[in-house]
Amino acid sequence: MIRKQSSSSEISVQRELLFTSVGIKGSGAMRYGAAMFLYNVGLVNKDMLEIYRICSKYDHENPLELAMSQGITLPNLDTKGTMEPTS
Amino acid sequence: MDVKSENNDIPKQWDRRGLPGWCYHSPALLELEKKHIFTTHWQIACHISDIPDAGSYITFDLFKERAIILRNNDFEVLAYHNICRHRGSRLVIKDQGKCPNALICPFHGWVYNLDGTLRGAARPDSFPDMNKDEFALQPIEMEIWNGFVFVRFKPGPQPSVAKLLASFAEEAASYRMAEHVPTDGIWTEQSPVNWKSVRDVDNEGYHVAMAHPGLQDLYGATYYDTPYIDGISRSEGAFTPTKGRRWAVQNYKKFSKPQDHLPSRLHKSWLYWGIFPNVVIAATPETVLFYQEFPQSTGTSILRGGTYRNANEDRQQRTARYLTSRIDRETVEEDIQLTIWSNEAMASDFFKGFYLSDLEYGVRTYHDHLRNILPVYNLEKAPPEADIASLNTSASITTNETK
Repeated sequence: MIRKQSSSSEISVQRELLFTSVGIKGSGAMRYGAAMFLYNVGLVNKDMLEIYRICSKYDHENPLELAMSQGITLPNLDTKGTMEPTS
Repeated sequence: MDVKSENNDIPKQWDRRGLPGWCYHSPALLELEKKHIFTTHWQIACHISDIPDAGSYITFDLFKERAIILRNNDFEVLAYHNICRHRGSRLVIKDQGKCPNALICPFHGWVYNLDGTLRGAARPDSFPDMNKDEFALQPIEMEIWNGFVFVRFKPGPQPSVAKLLASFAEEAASYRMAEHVPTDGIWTEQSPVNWKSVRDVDNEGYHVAMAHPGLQDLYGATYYDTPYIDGISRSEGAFTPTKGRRWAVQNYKKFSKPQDHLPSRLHKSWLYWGIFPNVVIAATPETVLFYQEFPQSTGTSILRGGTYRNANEDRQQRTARYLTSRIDRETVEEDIQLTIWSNEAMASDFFKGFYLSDLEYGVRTYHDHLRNILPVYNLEKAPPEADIASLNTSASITTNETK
């Protein structure tokens, strides 16, 4: 696995990309790319990363709904928009 | 450079023959050409304006190799092999597009940063620790010259693009080509000829008066070209002072106006810079364009090109550019027909080979560049296909160059 130190601003950018609106063209790939980044810094777990991979080619597929249907722990977000490590 | 000041005199005695006919339909020779002429020489992949944003990319395939040219988040232009480090799949499958944030392999989902480093493998828990640089995309040699992005898949005999084209530098810079923007994108077209027949037509202006009524009307007898010297050639046609007989030319001469950024001597000229082995960059007051050809088989080629315009053109310039494209499109169609006639001669048992005019000396000097790389072109009679590669490396082939 690639573990790296990332700046908080880059984490913030990738977090925004992770929550690109479902349905936007290219959003599936955008979310998966961001998920991989956030996995590397410990903010997305491996099961959730796999959900984002499954949904990466399907822009209309909501990864969070798929994750919930499979009982997978969602990225831990608070309402202020920060993320806590999930793994 | 002042090209005209160079000694481009045509020798009094020169070998007026072209390449032997067998060179136009030999599969074994084609394989040598792919390896030693195309893969090892600079090729234009695109113009920087084709990839305007971070994450914008364009792909460029050359035989079994494939490149992706993209902009990273710092807006730098980078070139990589379009090959995933996992199983070798294409990372991007479209000719052109945008991959904001990351490149994602469509096969298994490996993710790459826009700087080429590996962001991560899909199912990372199924691999040992991986170094992002060790598994980075493989870079391709790339150089940007006046906005045109050149790539070279393997090292070859040419110097850097800047050095190769140094004699055009001042003239090219005056066009501000790097600031141009695309008109209609990059086009490709299949042509039913050997690629060398395209070059054989393009490397001389002797046919203009007979075959290109539009160009003749535009610049007529002012057209001249220099022979190929050290891998480059240059042609120029200055507008004749006549009103123009053909509709497109007549109106083009009327609407084309001096561009402030160009020196006065280029206000009414079309230029062509030839770059060995298969590229031409052309400049008019309103546009710059490139075109090139690649062999698909011994009897088919792919023509490829793109046209770019001043970013801030006004209505009159736009009209002139449209008329330029009309004249140019007509010329391309005429040239394609000429290449077909030239190419079919090479299959005839009764064609005795070229006998070139002094006005076609550029064809000969171009062929000499080919002969320098592949001596087997010097064999007048078709050797057995199985022997061509070994004969090419044999010292027994005597050169047949114009000195």
